[in-house]
Amino acid sequence: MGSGDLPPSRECVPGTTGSSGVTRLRASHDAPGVVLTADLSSHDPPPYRGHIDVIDPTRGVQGWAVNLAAPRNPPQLALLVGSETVAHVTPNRQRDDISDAMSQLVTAGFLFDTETLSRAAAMAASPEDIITVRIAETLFELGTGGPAVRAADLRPTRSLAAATHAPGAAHGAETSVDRLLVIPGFGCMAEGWVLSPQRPVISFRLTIGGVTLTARPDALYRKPRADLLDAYQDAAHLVGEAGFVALFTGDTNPRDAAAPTLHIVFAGGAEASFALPARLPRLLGHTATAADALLFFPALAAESFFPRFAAAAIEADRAAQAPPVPLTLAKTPRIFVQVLPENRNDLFLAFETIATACRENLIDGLAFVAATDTTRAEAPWLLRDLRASHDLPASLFAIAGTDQAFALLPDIIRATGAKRFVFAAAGLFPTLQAHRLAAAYLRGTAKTPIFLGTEPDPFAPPDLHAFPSSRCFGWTGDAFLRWCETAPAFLGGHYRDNLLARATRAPTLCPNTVMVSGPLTPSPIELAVNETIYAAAS
Amino acid sequence: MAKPRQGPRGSIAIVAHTHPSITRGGAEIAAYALYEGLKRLGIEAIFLAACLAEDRARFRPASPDEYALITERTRYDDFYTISAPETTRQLLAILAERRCRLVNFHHHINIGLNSFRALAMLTEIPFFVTFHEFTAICANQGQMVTRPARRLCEQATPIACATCFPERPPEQFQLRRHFMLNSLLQAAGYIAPSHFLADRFIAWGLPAAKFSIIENGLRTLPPRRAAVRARTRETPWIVGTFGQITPYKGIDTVLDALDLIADQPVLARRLRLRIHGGLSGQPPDFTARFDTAIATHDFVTYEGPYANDDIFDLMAKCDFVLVPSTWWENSPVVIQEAFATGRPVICTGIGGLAEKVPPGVAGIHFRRNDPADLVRALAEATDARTYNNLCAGLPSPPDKASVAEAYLAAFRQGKKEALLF
Repeated sequence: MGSGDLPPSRECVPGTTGSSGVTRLRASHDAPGVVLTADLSSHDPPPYRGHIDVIDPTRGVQGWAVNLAAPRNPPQLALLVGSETVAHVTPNRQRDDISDAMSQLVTAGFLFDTETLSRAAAMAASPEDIITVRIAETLFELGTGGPAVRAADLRPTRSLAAATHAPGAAHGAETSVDRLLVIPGFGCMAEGWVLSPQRPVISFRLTIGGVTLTARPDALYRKPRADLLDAYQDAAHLVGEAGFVALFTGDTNPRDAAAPTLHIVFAGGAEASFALPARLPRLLGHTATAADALLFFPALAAESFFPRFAAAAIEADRAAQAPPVPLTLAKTPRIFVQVLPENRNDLFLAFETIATACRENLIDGLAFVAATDTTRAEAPWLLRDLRASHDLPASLFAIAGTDQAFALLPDIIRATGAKRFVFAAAGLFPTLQAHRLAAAYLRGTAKTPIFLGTEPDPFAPPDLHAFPSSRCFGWTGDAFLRWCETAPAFLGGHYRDNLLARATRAPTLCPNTVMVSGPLTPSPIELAVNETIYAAAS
Repeated sequence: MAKPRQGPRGSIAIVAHTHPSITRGGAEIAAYALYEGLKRLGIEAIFLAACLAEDRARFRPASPDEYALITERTRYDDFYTISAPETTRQLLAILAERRCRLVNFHHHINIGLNSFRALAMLTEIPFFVTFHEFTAICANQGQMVTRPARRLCEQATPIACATCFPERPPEQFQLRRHFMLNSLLQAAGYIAPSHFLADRFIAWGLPAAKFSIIENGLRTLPPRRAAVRARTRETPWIVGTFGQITPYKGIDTVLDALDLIADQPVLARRLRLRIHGGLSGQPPDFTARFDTAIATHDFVTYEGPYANDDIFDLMAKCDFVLVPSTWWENSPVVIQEAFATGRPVICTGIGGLAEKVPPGVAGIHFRRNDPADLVRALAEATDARTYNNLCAGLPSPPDKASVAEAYLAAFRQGKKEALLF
């Protein structure tokens, strides 16, 4: 922020003006003697400066305060209702705008939380009692830049009514953001509501991690929010378009989602800004998946921004993947890679299926891939017991999720030094026939891949791509690693099934040889993302 | 007892999911009775029982021919019934040491179907499976009763099973059936104590030609049937229930019937109901309801748990034995015991119960979960002529030696069939 800029205004219900008092602070600092709004008319200007940015039943009391005589020692503040002090707080938040104005780092921001404010309103002797913030032990009162806030105004329905009808209220908007999804390198999706009884809302901006993004007009949707009627009974005429979904595109830094702030842009150009809870943002690839974007845009794949979203989703997914951790490692030229199922019952069956193949002398080397806590707890002893009966080179890898297994397969191939491999995804149970085919392939010399298809699943929606499938296939290690270098990245473990086969020549197809313990149909969002990426790559 | 044949072909191994010294369920009693019957015939036999590690101290073998297969609860999967490979290794080691020529499994829980598969793949020893309920077909404790409604299930399908267990997809039940069926198909033959049970397994996919129907044997039989109790016109009819008191055993229906009986003073005067068995482990609200019912009606008494050795004496003090089970049952031991004592049975007219108790011949049926129909059946029972007719029609339960003979015949037939394949 430049030295002459105003910080984002923090107007609130009931309506305040656009000034947050910082400009005056700067003037005061540079030229002592300027009269301040919070000045109590003493002849010696008090050493305190401050401002209430927000008084809102849903966000508490927020603002800033400094002691000019000792800027690094924030003054204690008192919250009053009428003449009664109900709480104290000392500013403990950094405010870049105040630090800029003071030309030094100060801790000026304060918050009386919603519970405290609610308690203050409840303690009011009269509904007309005014809510104020003072420097503790002084009469210095922080200004709001707007009309005084009464205890009665803090009841939501009254608050809106007052804002709607109070003459002079500039904007009087209230808002809340329910969901905020951060997509690194792409932008943010937000869903919430805004009630603006005085001026139409024409757009939104979002500040997150120090970057301010503007809502794309072609991805800004309004929708009814009938649920608000319970709290805002006087706002029936507003709730029809109170809800909004917005996409804010632009570079975002995934490591810094601090101080998210929503700016509401009104007709005429005025703005009101609302600080959002720090815990609201969810980060794609960490606390959110691509499917979470459907909560914002149910027809996500049909949106014009989808190709860019798909690319960002792929990147976020891959960036979140940690390499496999070898818990036990054995080098072997021919390897059967089994991703262990998450379900404990299925885990036992997976080991029994492998044990059966071992009894038939169909396996020369093994790699198990464990992804869940349960699997990681059980797999080591199951592997130990298996090896007690069948002395085979066997590895055990830990990964973060079963759907990452395919993407991490190259690491497993490299770690084990496998020249040839057969891979079976989680939830797949190759029959004895499949193991015979796998063994023949592993012990053979064929250069083209083999695909082992699942048996038809009568309980799942028809999946046209069930075969040939990258869920269970074999290839030479070198060829697969070369293919991975140029193949487009895909989301999750479910490749669009025939892509691998399409990209390779004359594969061997072995349908109906693998059983499943649950529906394996990729989610629609995975398919849509993968289709988009594949189309772009080809 | 005849001297064991020391033939070159070794022992017959009877394998049960638990040992009678640890639990006293029908399956392990029947398995042990068979083992004793084979011994009585002079056949070299051993008895192997799965035993949880924590139950090791309770394992009391009666001879050196009895073995424990030590298993661990945490290393067992009860959905597919897969045990730890260590259990399989113990089994194979004992079979090899005793040069066993044939194995007869009396369950697959605890032992694990993986042991069946290993036995089939790693040895030449043929094995037979005796079914005691529907564990392979039904994941609900093998009862073929829906959950949570506890309705009778006519046919297990992946969709129906996923309805009972909504936390599992139908594919998993399809896989379960595939695994169970494939494992059991390795057997040389199957034994079912009732046609009803066999029919269910045949409908499920096992070959009918491999089935033999052989009644469970009792470990002991009374030397003779108890005499009919002397009675006058005023002598009340005594009806007893026996066994663990659980919801599946239908005690709810009996409690519901008590109020209806009380509404019929003549019947209430002519009837005495004795409930025998353990009540431990039941929910507090059920126990409270049970206690209240006993305290309210003077024609019903709770006799408490009993020792197995006392069963015939206790039954002899009754006129009828009541079996109000709400699941299909197979061939409940209590029915054999009632017949051995010389007492007709009043039972639910379903499944194995209906098969084992021909109505009007050896007992009286009533509708499942229908207390009014139970009262009707009890009223029908309190008639001297009916009673005498039923007593005259009671079948004689086989002794364990004759059961063992039937098993040997089935083994011979099964092995021949196996050779054909």
